[in-house]
Amino acid sequence: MATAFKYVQGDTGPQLRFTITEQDGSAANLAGATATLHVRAAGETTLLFSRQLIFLDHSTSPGVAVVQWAEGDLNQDPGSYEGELEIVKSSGLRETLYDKIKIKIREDFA
Amino acid sequence: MKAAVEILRLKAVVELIKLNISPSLADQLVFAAEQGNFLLLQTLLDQAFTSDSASLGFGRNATDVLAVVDSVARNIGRGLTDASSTADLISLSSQKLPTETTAVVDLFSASANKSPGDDAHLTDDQQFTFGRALFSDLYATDDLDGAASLLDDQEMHFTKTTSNPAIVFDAATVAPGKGLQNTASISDAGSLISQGYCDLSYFADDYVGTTRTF
Repeated sequence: MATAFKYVQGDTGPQLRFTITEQDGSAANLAGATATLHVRAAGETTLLFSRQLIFLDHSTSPGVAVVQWAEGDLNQDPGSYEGELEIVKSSGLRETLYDKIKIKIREDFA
Repeated sequence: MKAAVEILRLKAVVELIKLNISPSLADQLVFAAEQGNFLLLQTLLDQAFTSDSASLGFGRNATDVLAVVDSVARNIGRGLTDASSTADLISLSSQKLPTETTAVVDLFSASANKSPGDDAHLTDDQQFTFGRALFSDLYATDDLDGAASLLDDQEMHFTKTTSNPAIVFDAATVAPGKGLQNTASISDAGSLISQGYCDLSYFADDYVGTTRTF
């Protein structure tokens, strides 16, 4: 995930949509699973916030989940951030996806 | 020959291991992310928050209604109790009305009895008044006659004579009642002879006893 998603400080949109698949490209069966996006500043170890993803209909859109930012989530200092996606399946198996996403936030002047 | 069989068995085991390994590689999840405005989801979330507020309001109303229902149930129980007590009051009041009516009748009869009683007292007063007038006439005449001159006596006599006819007139009206009483006392008059010496018919006259005439 070399592309950084760009936001302005204090925004609550746009959303991020994740399409989660198996490594071979087949659809992942995530019915009953929960997905959470953990965000921290790049190069730091302190977790800033965690936001749970909203899964779409598993029958029509398997493995597709959307992050709806809450008020204050992106009200961070300008800079670079990174997020990791953690999935807990219905069996209780916890799997954190290896790749991270990059987020870049600039200051808000109005 | 046995060695060839063992080789085939080992190959089969290796194939099974390969089959077990390959699914483990496919289990690892990957993702692709994209940024965009998924307005449908955002709109749904906004609507969900609004509907949550509305549902909270309804929930509180329903709770109040339940409390009111409990109050109503209690009122029904008390209402029956009050109704029975009211019925008792009605029956008691109907019994009191005849009682008051009889009390009024008693008052009427009592007043009727008092009226004849008063009449009797008036009759008694008239009789006593006449008795006193007769006694006063006698004392006034005696005192004035013995103390003063002749002129005075004559003047006093005229005055008393004027008052005496009135007294006599009053006595005449009262006379029928008193006359009966005087007649009874006259019948009691007679003579009393008391002696203990001998029989009363022994002597021709009262020689040894006491004789009184009344």
